[in-house]
Amino acid sequence: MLINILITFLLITNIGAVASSRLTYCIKIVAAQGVVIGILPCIIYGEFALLPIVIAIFTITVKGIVFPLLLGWSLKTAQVAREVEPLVSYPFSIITAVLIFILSFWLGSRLSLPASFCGYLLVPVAFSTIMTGLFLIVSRVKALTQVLGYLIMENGIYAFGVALLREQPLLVELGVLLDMFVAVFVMGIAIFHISREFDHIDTHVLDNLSDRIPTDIRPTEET
Amino acid sequence: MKSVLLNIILALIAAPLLPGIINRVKAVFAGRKGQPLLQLYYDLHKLLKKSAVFSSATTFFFWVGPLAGFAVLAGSLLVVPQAQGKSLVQFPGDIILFVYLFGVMRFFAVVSAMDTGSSFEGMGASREIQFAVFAEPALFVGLVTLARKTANLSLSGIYSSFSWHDGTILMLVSAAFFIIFLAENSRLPVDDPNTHLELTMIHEVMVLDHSGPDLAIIFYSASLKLWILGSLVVGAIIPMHTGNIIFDELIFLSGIAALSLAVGIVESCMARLKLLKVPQLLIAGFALAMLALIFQIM
Amino acid sequence: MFEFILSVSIIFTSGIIACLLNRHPGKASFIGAAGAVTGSTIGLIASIRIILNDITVYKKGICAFNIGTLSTGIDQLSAFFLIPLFILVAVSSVYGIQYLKPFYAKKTIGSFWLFFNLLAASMATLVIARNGVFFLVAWEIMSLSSYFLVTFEDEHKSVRQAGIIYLIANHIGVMFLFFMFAMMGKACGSMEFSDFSAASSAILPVSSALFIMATIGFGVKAGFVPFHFWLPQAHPAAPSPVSALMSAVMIKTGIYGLLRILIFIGPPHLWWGITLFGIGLISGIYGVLFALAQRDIKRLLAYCSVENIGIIAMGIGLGLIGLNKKLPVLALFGFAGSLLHVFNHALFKGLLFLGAGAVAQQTGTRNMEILGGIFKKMPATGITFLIGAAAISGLPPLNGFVSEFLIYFGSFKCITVSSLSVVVSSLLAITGLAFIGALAAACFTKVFSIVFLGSARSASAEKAAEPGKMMRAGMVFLAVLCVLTGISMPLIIPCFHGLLTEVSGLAFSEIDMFLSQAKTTFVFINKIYAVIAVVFTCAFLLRKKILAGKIVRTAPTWDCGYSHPSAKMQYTGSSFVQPITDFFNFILRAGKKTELSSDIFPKKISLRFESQDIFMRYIYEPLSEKIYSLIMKLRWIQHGRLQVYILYIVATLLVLIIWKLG
Repeated sequence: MLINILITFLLITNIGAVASSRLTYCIKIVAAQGVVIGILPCIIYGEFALLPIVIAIFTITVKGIVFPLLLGWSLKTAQVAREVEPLVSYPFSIITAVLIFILSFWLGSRLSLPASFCGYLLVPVAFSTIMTGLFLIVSRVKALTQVLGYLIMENGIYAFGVALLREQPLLVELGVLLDMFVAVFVMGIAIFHISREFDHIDTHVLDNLSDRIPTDIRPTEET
Repeated sequence: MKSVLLNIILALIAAPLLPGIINRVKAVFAGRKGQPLLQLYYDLHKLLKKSAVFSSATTFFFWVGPLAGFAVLAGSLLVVPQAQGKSLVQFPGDIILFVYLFGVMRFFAVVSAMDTGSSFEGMGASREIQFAVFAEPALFVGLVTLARKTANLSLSGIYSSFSWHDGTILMLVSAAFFIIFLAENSRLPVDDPNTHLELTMIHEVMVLDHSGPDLAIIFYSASLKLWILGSLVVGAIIPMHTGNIIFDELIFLSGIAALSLAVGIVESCMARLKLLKVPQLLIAGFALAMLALIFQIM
Repeated sequence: MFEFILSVSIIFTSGIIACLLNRHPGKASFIGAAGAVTGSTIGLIASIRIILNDITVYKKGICAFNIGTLSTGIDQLSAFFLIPLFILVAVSSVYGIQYLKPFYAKKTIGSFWLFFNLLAASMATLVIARNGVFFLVAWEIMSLSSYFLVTFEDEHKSVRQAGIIYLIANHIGVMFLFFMFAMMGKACGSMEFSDFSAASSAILPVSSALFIMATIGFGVKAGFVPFHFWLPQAHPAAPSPVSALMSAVMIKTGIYGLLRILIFIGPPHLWWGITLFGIGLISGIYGVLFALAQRDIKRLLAYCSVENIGIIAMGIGLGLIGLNKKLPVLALFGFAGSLLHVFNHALFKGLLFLGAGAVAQQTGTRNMEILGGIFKKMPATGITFLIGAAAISGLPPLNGFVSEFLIYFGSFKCITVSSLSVVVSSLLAITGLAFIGALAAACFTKVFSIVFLGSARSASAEKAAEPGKMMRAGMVFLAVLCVLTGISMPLIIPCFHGLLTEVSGLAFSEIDMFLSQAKTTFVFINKIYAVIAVVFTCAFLLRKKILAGKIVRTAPTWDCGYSHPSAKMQYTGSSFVQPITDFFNFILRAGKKTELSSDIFPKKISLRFESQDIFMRYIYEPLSEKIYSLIMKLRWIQHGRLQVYILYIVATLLVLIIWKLG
C-alpha cells in the first residue's frame, strides 16, 4: 500500500516535471522525486536494517538537498526562470509521459524478472522514469532542463536498482550516484560558463560548434 | 430511500451555502471580515424580487437556457451518489447519462450566452466549450477506472462499493476529479469567479446580460453544480461507509464543507492560469485518471 | 416483396414522367415528388411491417424470387436500411418542390426529378438486390444519377469540379467492389447472394482479402478517412434536398454493403474489428475537427458526416471485436449502436442539410460568418435546426444520444474483461466518443449561434424570411422524428431482435438478454427525462409568475461602455472555435494569414483563415498530378483519326479471338 503510494507519487512527479515551464518548480519536483526515491529502499527492504537506512539518508541528502541547491545556484547565476519554447509543447509532453508509462508497463510485463522482485509496479515505473528523463533531455532547449532530465533518468535507474536491492550489492548504486555527482558538477559549471559567454543557456548556441556551418550564421559575402 | 431523499432536499437547500464558505475562507486569508455565509441566499432573494431587462438581440433561448440548465441539474441530482454513496435512482449506465446531462447544460448555457450577440459573452462561451473538450474525456477516464475497479456501471453502485484498499487509484482519480471539479465550476486556477469585466473570464462573462430571476436561477444552478460535482470528489476521497446513516451523513456533509474549504484555500493561494495553460491543466487531469486506469489494469 | 417492387417502380416511373413534362416545371415537380412520396410511403409501411412481424413470428421475412438473375429479397437488414431511405426520399422530395422553384426559369426541372427518383429507386433496389451483378448495376445507377444531381448547378466551375472528384472517387470504390464480387463469385461459383451464404467454407480462405476490398470499396462511398475526400466537395455543390438525401442515406449504402459482406464472409478475425474501429475513431476525430474549422455551412455538415460515419464504423468494429472475443455484450451493443446511429444520423443529418439549404436559399450565402440573427426571421427553421444540432452533438433526450449511449454502454460493460485488446478498444471508444461529442457540441453551438443568434452581420442575413410551407413541413417532420426516436427507445429497441440475429449471428437467448437490459436502461433514462421535464415546467411557471406583475424592459446588449457597437463586433464563428482550432492545428494545418498595420492609427488589418483537407493537399493532389502527367505521355494513342480507332478495334478483336481459340 505505502509503496504503491510512493510509486504513484514518483509518476506524478514525472508528469509534473514535463508539464511545468518554471525551472524553479521543476527543480523542486526533482528534489521531491529524489526524496521519494530515497525512502524507497527502506520500504523495499521490508525489515529494519542499517544498510537501507544509510543508503536512504545518503540518497535523500544528495538528491533531495545537495543537487537542488546546486541547480538553484546555477539557475540564479544563469538568470533564467522559464523554459520558453520547448521542442514539444507542454500538453503533448504530458500525453507523451502517459504514453511512455503505458509503453513501460508493456515492457515490464514482457520482462521475465526474478520472483523476489518487490513491488511489481516498481519496474515499469522505473522504466518510465528513465524514459521520461530521456524525453526531457530530447525535448527541451535549456541546458538546465536537460540536466534535470538527466537527474530524472538517473532516479529511474536508481529505482530500478532498488527493485533488485536484495540481490544486488549496493555498490552499483553508489557508483551511479558518484557518477551523477560529478556529472552535475560538470554540468553546473558548464551552464555557468555557457551563460557567461553567451548571456543565456540555450543549447541551440552550441550548434555553432558543429562542423556544419549553420545557415543563419553562414558568412555573407563581404562588400 | 428516505435518507437519500433527504439528501437531495438538503442539496437543494444547502447548496448556496458552499460559495459562502469559499468566500469566507478567501476573506480570512486576505485578512478581511468577509461577506456573511448566507450571502448567496440574500442575493437570490433580492434577484427574485427584481424584474428583468432583456437585450433586444435576444430570442427566447436567452431565458430558456438557464431554466433548462437548472432542470437538467435537478435530473443529475437524482443519480449522483451522496452520503453512503447512494442515490435516488440507480441503473447501470447512469454514468453516461450523468456526464451527458452536463453536456446539455453546457449547450444551453452557451446558446443562451451567444443569443445576446455580445462579443464578451461569445468569448466566454468559446472558452467554456473548449475546456469541455478536454474535461469530458478526463471525466470519462476517471469513471472508467472506477467502473473497472468496482465492476459496476452505475454511479452509486460504484461509490457505495469503495474501500480504503483502493487507496492509490482513488487518490489519483480524486485528484483528477478535483481538477475537473474546479474547471467545470469555473473556480480559480481556471476561471476567476470574482470579476466579470476582465476579458479572461469564462462563466461570469457568459451571464453578463442576464438579470433578475434568470440570474438568480443561474447563481443557484452554479451552486448546485458545485454540490453535485463536489459529491463525486468527496465520495472518492472519503470512501468510508460506517453503515450508520447519521454518521455517514455527517461524514458526507463535512466532506462537502471541507471541499469548499479546500477550494477557498486553493483560490487564496493560487493565481489564475493563463488561458493557454488551462488545457494543459485539464490534460494533466486526464493523465492522472489515465495513470489510475493503468494501475487498475495491471 | 411485391410492395417493394411496386414502390420502386412508382418512384422510377414518376421520374420518367416528370422528365417528359420538362416543359412544365411545376407539373414535373409535382409528378416527380408525388411519385417519390407515394412510392416511399408504400415501401416504408412494408419495411416497418417486415421489422415488426419478425418480432412476433421469430422467423426471417425473406420472400425472394427470381427474375432471371435479378433476384431480390428482403430481410431485416434490408428493411432496416429501407426505413430511413424511404423517409428521407419522401421528405426531401416534398422539400424539393419548393426548393426548386427559383430554378424554374434557368434549369431543366424534369431531368432533376428523373435523376432524383432514379437515385431513390436505385438505392432501394440495391438494398433489396440479392445478386452480385444486380447489386453492382444498381450501385452504378446510384452513383451516376447522384453525379448528375451534384452537378445540377453546373454553371459554376466549383460544382463541375466537385462533380468530377465525386465521379472519380466513386469509380475507384466501384473498382474494388468489382474485384470483390468477382472473387466471391469465383469462390462460390455463382453471383447469387443465397449461394454466398451457403458456400461459407469456400469463402473462408479469401475472407480477409474480401474484407479489405469491401472496406475500401464501400468505405469510399461511406466516407471513411482517408477515402472521405469527395464528401466535402460534393455535398456543398449539390442542391440541398440532394445533399440531404446523399448524406443521410446514400453514404449509408456503403455501411449496408459492408454489413452485408461481413455477414457472408464468416467469423471475423480480430484485426478486422480493430481495423474498422481504428478507421472509425480516426474518421470521427478527423471529421469533427475539420468540421469545426469550416465556414461554409454545408461543407461543415459534410465533414460532420465523416464524423458520424466514423462513429458507425466504431460500433461495427466493436461488434466484430466482440464476436471474435466471444463477448456477446460488446458485439450486440456495438452493432445495435451503430445500426441505430445509421438511422439517427439519417434523420438529423437530413434535417440539418434541409435547414442549411433553407438558410442558404433565403440569404443567398452558405458562408456562416456573414449571417446571424436570422432566428427571429426564420423561427421554424431555427427550432428544427437546433433540434438537429443538439441531436448530432449526442445530447439527451434526442436520438443522437441513444445510439452513442449504446456504444458507450457496451464499452463500459467490457472494460472489466481481462483481454487487453478489448479493454484498450473499449477505453478508446469511450474517450474517443467523449472527445468527439464535446467537439461536435462545440461545432454545432457554433453553427447554430453564429447563423441564428445575435444580430445580422450583413444585408443578406437581414433579408432572410421563413421558407415556404413545404420546406418547413419536411424539417418539422424530421425534427419530430428526432425527438420521438430519442424518447421512445424502450419501444424501438425490442424491434432490433431479428436485425441483430442477422448481423451478429448470435443465439436468441443472448440477444433477448441484451434487449431486455437495454430496454430497462432506457426506461430508467426516460424516467429521468420525465423528472427533468417536470422540473423545467415548474421552474418555467414559477418564473412566469415572478415576472407577471413586473415591467420587463428591453435594452441593447450590454456593450461594456462602448458607444457604437455594431453587428460586426459580435464573436464570429472562426473566433468562437479559435481556441480549439489553434490547439489542434497540428492536425488541421490551417493556413493563417494576418496582415497587421504598424501605424498608430491602423487603417486596414486582415486575418485569413483557410483550412484545407490534409489528405487532399498532401496525398491526393500530388498523386493526381503525377497520374495526370503520366497519362499525358500516352496521349499519342488518341490520334483523332477514324482509321486508327478502327485499327484498335480490329486489333482488340483479333487478340481476343486468338486468346479464346488458342
